[in-house]
Amino acid sequence: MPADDLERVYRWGWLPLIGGCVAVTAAMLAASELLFIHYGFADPTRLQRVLHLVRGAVMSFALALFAGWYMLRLRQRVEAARESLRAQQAAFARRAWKTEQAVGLGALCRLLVHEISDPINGLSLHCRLLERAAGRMEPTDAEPVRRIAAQLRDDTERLQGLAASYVEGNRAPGSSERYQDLSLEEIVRAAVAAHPCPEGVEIVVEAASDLAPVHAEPDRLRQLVEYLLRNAIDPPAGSHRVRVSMTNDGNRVLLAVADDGAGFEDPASVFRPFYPASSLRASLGLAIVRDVAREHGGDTRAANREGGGALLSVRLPMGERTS
Amino acid sequence: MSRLLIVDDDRVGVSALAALLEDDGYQVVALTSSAGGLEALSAGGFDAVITDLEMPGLHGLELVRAIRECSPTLPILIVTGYTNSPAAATAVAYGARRVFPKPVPYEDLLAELGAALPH
Repeated sequence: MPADDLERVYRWGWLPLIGGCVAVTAAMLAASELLFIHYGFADPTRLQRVLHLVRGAVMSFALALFAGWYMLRLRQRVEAARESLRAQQAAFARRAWKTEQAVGLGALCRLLVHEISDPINGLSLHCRLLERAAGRMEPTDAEPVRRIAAQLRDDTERLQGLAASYVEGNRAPGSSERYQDLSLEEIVRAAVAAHPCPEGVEIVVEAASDLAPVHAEPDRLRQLVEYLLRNAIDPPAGSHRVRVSMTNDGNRVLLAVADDGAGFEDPASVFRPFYPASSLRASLGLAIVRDVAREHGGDTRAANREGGGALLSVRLPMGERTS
Repeated sequence: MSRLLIVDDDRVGVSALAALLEDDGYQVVALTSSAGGLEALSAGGFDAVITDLEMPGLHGLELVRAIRECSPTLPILIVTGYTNSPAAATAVAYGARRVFPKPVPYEDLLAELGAALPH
């Protein structure tokens, strides 16, 4: 039985039961009365009347006992069903949380791998410069410099290997087919439908009728859209109306999210990791958006709107149009 | 002496790469923005370009495309942290000679430059 039906029976089931008890008792008493009349007890004695009333009372009591037992059983069943539902909900929430954490962690790791690629590159090239500089020194001076440079180079290569293995290890099987031509509108609408929108916040989605597909990795594109939405909706943005629009922009597809919230303190810094520092999720979300956009050959922009609120835009490479 | 243009928003990396290439006999102009790169290219005189793709402002792909429009044969080498991205594949489709990952495998880069430039 569905949970709602059980709940209804649990709340209102006593009404027909009590009604039923009263009706059955009344019917039996009426039947007894008819029997008295039929068998000529038109003028029953006091004893017969008392017996008649006692019989009615016993019958009512028995029916009430049955109704009580039935309600108790029903209550137990409803409680068991509630408990089972609660356990299922908790298990589902745990699984959803774990999945979200895993996905977020994966995105964070990829972001960090990409963020450290520039410093590792600089370190690696400077190691080479150091080795070359050592080659121009006196042999006695050069030896410790060479040793340090070699150690640095080893460490850099180890770091590089770790980063590369992480990126390679996270490639989906058949990685050459990861990128597909996707409908950005479908992904945005699905994300809006799935996102628990806070009360008082309205999300408006608009897409150009001739919107081209984007060439992207499905999971990464979903991540990008999800983090963009969260930034606009979740506190401390404080938005009431969020407008998500999609248009063609040359050989790119432009995804813009405009809100009427508090805006950015420093629009130039919003895509940096750990900005703003108020919450971990908010501070990494937009950095991941930029990372995903870059990974796809796209770019990101952030600005404050003239009338108040923030405007985030992401340009992504266009896929092939089917018509 | 061949003249190279390097464009990368990572100042530390670009200065180290420029120093190494100068040490290996190239004349290098190192810039940290693709807009600056475009301006330098319009003056001409470069034999090859080494560029990153992910840069603020003008994306590296736009730079590659702009170079191809005005100079169809100028060798372009890409250095990027996102080697498996569609952007890297698109850069090759636009006419980039090769895509290198970060950290740059310097010997490979040097060999590619040697193969691309007339001796």
